[in-house]
Amino acid sequence: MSKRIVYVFALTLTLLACVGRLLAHHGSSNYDMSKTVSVKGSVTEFSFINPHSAIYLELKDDKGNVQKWLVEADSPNNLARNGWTRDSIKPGDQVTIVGNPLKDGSKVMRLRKVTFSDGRELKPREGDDY
Amino acid sequence: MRSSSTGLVLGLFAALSLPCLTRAQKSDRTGEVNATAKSVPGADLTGVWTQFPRIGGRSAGEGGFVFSKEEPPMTPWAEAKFKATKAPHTGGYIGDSDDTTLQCYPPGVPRIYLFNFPMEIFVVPGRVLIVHEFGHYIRQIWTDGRPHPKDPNPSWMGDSIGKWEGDTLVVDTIGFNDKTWLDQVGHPHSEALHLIERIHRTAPDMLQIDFTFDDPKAFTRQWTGIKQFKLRSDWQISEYVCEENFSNKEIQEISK
Repeated sequence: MSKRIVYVFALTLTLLACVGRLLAHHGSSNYDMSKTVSVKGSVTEFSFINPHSAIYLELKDDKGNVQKWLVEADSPNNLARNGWTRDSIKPGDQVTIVGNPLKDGSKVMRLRKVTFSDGRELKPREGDDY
Repeated sequence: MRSSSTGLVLGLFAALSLPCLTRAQKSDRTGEVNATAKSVPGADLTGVWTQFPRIGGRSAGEGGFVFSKEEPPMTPWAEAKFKATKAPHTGGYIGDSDDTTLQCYPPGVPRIYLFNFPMEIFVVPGRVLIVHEFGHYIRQIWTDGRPHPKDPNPSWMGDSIGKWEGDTLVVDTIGFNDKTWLDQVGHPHSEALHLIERIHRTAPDMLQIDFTFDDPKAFTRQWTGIKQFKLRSDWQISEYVCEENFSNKEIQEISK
């Protein structure tokens, strides 16, 4: 029994060790995974659909111009497995969203965390950093 | 000397008997799930399985975007095709890409294993069914002894037959079309792909698939890969309708 645990543990460690190299080699994501942006605004829409859910944010910049952000999130199937429902985010919610921005600089990001005005946090999935 | 050899024998006995004890528990559980399970060989494959390990919520490691740490031994035909492939599906959904799954075409086999959605394995007389949450694709693996059709019409998921070797299901699949990528980074395959999968539990809550890829048009030799899964008895296969995305105009705009 203990041997099996050791083997599984060793295999897991080996696989984990491989991840960094693989992500570097094959990770030509459209999102800049090395950067995060934090945007505070008002939710105008929450689209809880496959393959990717989407949160639409609106905020005013210092000049009073309206900025619109699109936040791409995971499939509702996976979000639901981490406690989300279609009502987890509602139009009108004041939120701060942290995510990885699109490499081309447009106002699109991949969700990492939502923080509501009352301090509640929502993450797309288990895991410490995603 | 004598006490140490006794200790060794006792230790060996304990080590050997523990797996047997856990195995006994396993078959009781599958017996509960399906009254006929004990009469169907390899019932231990049943359950809802999710990719493992997951780093940052993404199926990771060797079985994350690809099936092997080693680059596949590609023929010149495959190399050229691979080089010409635009924007592999390794990150967000948005952007310019050749990946037809973005238009909701099937990922095919074995690529479907690399999408972050669980699958459920059902073992029934004469067949093993794999229900994939992603796209609700169902694989029928015939275990009733039938051979492959002589000239199967090329399909997205291929034609699969399987046989049990103890608790390992050995799946043999041919009859693929060439409209799919082999993996998430866009390695190609041809209609000549002959895929062998050895599906087995490595622990009560772990499943492993050992792949052998044989495709004389795409690869210069046979090569192997691996994918692991974890049992999630608290999950069920949910609905997944890829075409829902077409109602999301903004994402459509950005991803054209």
